[in-house]
Amino acid sequence: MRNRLDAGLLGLAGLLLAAIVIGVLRFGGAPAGDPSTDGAQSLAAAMGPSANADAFARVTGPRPLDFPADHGAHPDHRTEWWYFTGNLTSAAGRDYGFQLTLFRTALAPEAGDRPSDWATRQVWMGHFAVTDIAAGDHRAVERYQRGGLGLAGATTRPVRVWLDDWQIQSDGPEALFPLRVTASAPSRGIGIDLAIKAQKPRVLQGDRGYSRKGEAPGNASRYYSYTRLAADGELRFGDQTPAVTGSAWLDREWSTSALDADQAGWDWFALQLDDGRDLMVYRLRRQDGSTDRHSAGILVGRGGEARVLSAEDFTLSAQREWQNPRTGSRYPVAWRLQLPDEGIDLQVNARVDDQAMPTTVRYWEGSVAVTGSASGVGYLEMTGY
Amino acid sequence: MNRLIARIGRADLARHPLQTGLAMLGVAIAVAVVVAVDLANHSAREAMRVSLESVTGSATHQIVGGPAGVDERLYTRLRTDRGLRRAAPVIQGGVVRADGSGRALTLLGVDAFAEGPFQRPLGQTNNLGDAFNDLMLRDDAVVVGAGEAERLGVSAGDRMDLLIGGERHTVTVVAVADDPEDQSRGLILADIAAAQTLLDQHGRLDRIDLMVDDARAEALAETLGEGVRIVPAAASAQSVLQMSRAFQINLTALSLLAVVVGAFLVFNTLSFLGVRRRASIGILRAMGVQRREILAQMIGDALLIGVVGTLAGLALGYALAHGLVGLVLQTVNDVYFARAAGDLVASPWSLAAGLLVGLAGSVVAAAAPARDAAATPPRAALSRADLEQRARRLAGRAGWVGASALAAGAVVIALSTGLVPAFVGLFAVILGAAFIAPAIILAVGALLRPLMRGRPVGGLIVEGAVASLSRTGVAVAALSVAVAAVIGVAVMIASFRASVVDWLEGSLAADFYVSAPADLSDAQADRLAALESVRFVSRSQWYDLPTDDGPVTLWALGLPDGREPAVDIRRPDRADALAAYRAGGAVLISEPFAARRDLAPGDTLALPVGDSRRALTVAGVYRDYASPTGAVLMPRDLYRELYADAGLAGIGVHARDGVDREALIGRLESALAGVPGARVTDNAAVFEQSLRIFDRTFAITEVLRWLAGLVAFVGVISALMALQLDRLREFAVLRAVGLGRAGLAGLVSGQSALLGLIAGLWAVPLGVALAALLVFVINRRAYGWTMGFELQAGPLVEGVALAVIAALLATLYPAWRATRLRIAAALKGE
Amino acid sequence: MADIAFESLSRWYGDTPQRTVLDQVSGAIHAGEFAVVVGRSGSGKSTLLNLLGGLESPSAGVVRIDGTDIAGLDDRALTALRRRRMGFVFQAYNLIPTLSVADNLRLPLSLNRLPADGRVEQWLERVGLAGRGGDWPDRLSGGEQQRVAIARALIHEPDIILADEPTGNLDLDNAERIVALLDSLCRAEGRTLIMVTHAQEVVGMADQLLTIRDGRLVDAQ
Repeated sequence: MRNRLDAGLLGLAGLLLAAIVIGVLRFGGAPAGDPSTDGAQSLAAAMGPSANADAFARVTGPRPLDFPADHGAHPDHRTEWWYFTGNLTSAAGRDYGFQLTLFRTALAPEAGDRPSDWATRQVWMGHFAVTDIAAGDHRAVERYQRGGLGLAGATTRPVRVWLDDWQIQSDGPEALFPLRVTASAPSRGIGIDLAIKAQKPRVLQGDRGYSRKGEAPGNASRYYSYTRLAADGELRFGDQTPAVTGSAWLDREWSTSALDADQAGWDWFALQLDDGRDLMVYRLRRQDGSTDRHSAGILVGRGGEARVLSAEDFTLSAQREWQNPRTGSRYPVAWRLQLPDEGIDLQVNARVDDQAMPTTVRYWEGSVAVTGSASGVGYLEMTGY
Repeated sequence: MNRLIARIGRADLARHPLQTGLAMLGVAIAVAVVVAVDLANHSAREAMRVSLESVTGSATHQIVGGPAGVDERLYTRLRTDRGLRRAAPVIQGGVVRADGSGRALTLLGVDAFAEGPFQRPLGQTNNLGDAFNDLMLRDDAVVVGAGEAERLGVSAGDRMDLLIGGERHTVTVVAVADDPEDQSRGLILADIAAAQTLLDQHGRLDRIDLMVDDARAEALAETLGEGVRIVPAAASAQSVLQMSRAFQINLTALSLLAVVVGAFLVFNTLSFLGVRRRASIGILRAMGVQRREILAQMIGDALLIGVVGTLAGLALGYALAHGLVGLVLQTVNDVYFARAAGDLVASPWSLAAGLLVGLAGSVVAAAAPARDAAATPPRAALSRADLEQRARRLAGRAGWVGASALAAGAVVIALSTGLVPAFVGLFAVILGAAFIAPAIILAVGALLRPLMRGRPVGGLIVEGAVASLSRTGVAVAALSVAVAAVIGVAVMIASFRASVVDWLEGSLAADFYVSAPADLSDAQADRLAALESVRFVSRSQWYDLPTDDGPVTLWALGLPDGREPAVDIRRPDRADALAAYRAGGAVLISEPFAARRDLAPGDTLALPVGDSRRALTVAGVYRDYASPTGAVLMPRDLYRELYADAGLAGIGVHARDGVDREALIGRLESALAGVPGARVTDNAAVFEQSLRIFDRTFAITEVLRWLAGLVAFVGVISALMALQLDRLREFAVLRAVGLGRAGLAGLVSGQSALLGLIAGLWAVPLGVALAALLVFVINRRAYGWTMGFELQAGPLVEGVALAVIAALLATLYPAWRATRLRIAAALKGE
Repeated sequence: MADIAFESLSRWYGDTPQRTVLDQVSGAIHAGEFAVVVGRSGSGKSTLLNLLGGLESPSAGVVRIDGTDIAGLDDRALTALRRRRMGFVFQAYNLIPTLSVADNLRLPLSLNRLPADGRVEQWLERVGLAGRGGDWPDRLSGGEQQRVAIARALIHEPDIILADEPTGNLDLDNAERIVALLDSLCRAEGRTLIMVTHAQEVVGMADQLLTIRDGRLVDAQ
């Protein structure tokens, strides 16, 4: 998992309630329009020990993953997501970034015996964003839905994960790829309809997919990724609907447990280098600004061979900050990332500074360009600022 | 206006506090009635609107189906396949608090994830906190608004028992939502999953609310598929509001009657003022005071009376409205919309209307007397004889004006079809009759005069009454109008009630009625029909069919072969109508429905069935007072074919002759054992309950009738008292020439009683005419109801007695003054 | 001041001259004169006064005040003429009962938009009622009320004073004082005074005597 996501998990558990009630009921489901000044605090509060976390299923150690079943939902774990990011280019050479994430949160550890088809303990949240790089325009939408009556959910054979008309669906019954991703938000004038193929096999994060986040063995997630996907399809931005091609990345993670309370946030990098390598690192930031020892990463070679990275294997330094004028938060949007063992020394720059998500849980998620010892593109996520 | 001249007027008012005060009181009561009725109407409308909106929210359209509702899977398809975002599922049902209160509530099941844009009151809360999880996860979790929680006496965490479909369920109030406007009065909100379980409506929705533009709705409608269609969301609310408008127009008209009477009162006071001030005005005119300055003085005095009376009236009206709003809402609840409830809503327009009525009414009423006073010639004054001579001439002219107004009113009524023109005509008739009143006094005087020859005291009574026309004419007119209103409304209510009784006797054909909170089944009906002492059973289902023009109430009636529906068919004749009805594809419609839709026998009525329409023939029109919105009666077989609904809302049990009713009730009840909440009601109980509701419905009308009477009462007291007080010198002369105290008191009260009697008697034909207009014109135009005319002596006697008693009461003080007169001082004059 | 001339003045009630109250009366009263109109009850003398004062309109004939025919004036102009140039004293005093004595005196000043300037007190003193301004009219005796009425008729300094039996309700002593008061006040300022009376003792004080009998002027001096 990405550390930000742990916080995200915790945040979701605690904040979905507020999100639904405040965001959906009061603002009609539209993204909250005004700065949520206490968002980070709520996040931190939500990261504290959870009262009934014990009742949910826990990730306590490595176990063999089972596909396609594990591509579907794990309803007894509190939190889970399907996380697509990618960089696309139109036939005319215009660059775009996209993000489509479907989050699932269980409100209760066990399903009740309830007769209504509407009854569910699963709440789904979707985040969808598209960035027009040249225009410097980043548009994002948030949606909620209940996990009942087929309104949102995840199934296998074929794999289908959806929230209303946002959908990820495999072409065939057995394999996850190729698949099709569709999402649109007419109110914001954005949409994607992409055919996606895997160009490298799946990589398991941490110890065979067991990704520890804290000291206790149960403070961990199940985490795997597809780091190099080919995307081909159509995109809508405003009144433009160009045909696009490019690369994408899928993160899959589910868990129940929380991070330590003294973790402030995280910086997560998913980079696809032109030399065929893919690099993912996340740094967990402690309240005192230091790097948590559970920070980690993975380096995937041209042929899909993976090397798991630990906190000692890389260094990150922020080089330029951008301040979100709507919230006042300052995000580092230019970084230097070094992996001395691998001879990697990269400059990572946001392709558009303002790619802050105006969603209930606030974070920065956006397309980046890589230069230095290797060039490439990628996605960067920053929370807790 | 010259300050001193203004002061003369004010000082004159101050020197006659009783008369001035009574005039102000009259204005105050009239204004109060108008303001109170308008406030009550406004509040009732608000209550209805708020209640309707609390369920409809800001939806623009609704997807509806047949009696079975809408398949819930349609909602999923709308969202996932069509990407429709602004759609929200709704189910709702009636529940009853299972405690002593028996409070009826609406359980509303909605989906928090879809509610956002729809702005239903409970959807606007953001303080649900942890209760959200409970709502999502539990089948017994509900939320109520703060106002309703207070009424129910519950707070967050409390449990309460509800009777739903006859069965007891315990729910937990997991949160009390802010609801500052008490919009969610009578509502219990639950998540749609819990609501489906509580209401036992799994798999279906009552409707899907949409927020789309008309073009999108139309496009959507074409592809929705079978069994469902789209109707405008406001249709239902609009139809309720529209129907209740007729009722409110009636109330407003009644309140305006009080204004007419109040205006008479101001007119009367000012006329009297003009007469009394003739001497002063003559001097002022001689001194070079212009006519318009006199006019200004009189109008100023009228305004003063108007302002004080109006301000008092506004306050009084506001207080009165608190009482009236309950009565209006009661009627609205009984007749139109079962969840309208609310408190007084202050409306600046109501207050403005009161202000306008009070001030403008005073000035308009004062215009004629003020012009009269200003025309006073510039010398000491006309003699009293000249004045009365003039009054007689005026009485004659007013008589013609009145007759013309009467005729004009009749023409307006005859040529128009609307409700408002009917009231305009009605008012013209009333005013016309009022203008004729002075001429009536003269005629009565001429009739009585020969009888009084040789009876000096009797002669004085008649002459005194007739000769004082300048000051009594208006009072008598006002009293006539008010008494006529009292009589007319009473006769109308009596006629209506008699018709309702007649109708109930005809339509309550069954001996017992079986009902249950949930639908009954044919098997249950068969079980009852099989009982030995049961001749046959009738099977009824009711369904409010949503249409573009609001819901249409369908009544499906199943009868054994050879039995006819027990309805009173008005047109065409019964045999023809029933033959057409039996022929198939035909319905009988109630009078209000025929009036609303402008339908006659032989016409075609197209009803939506699924996503198409089915044309049915109107076989006949039957009498029905149950619903002002009307109903469509169709054979149950046809209904089942069209709407695939086999449920029964009621079973009518027709007993064999001579059976032991008590024993039969027992057998019926045991046959129904196991049907939750099933009830057997004797037809006599239904009859009584219906009449109770009828009487409750007219409570507000009764109150207004008496308020209009009260204004007239005050007016008469004021006018007659002024008259008698003005004649103290004349009384002194009579005393001086030897009339005893008792004789004088008799003379004074005799004159007043005579005037009261004239007013009362004149009010009788006027009141009957008014009643006839209400019965045959107003009620038919407002509701489409036809009814018989039931004229009884009671209300007429009551009205005449009211007039005479008012007149006699008015003389108490002057008679007392007259008998205690110090003769010499009074003779000396002012 | 004002010359009053009247020619062929007639007044009848109804449409035709059958009930003629005043029949073709002519005459002239010069500025500053004291003219007395005498005659029996019903002779038409009050009618003549009403016509001269513009309270009634003549059925035939003209009334000229300083050469202007007042019968040609509309009600508004006639009223303005009375307001400014005339003062009336009636037999029945006719004070406004709802105004105090002082306010009764203020009324003509106020109507003519004249400043009070102590005139009210001055006139109360002139008619011997100093300090009674705050009283209500019904607190005063008949003679006192009539003196207030005289003050009210004169306070706005009109040219013509018309008095209709001003002493009719008074005893002899009071009557003499009232007439003397009127006479002196008018002569002092050169005002025209026309008085209807049947008090013989007044006749001797008059500059001109108009005797009316059955609606006709029988003797003019």
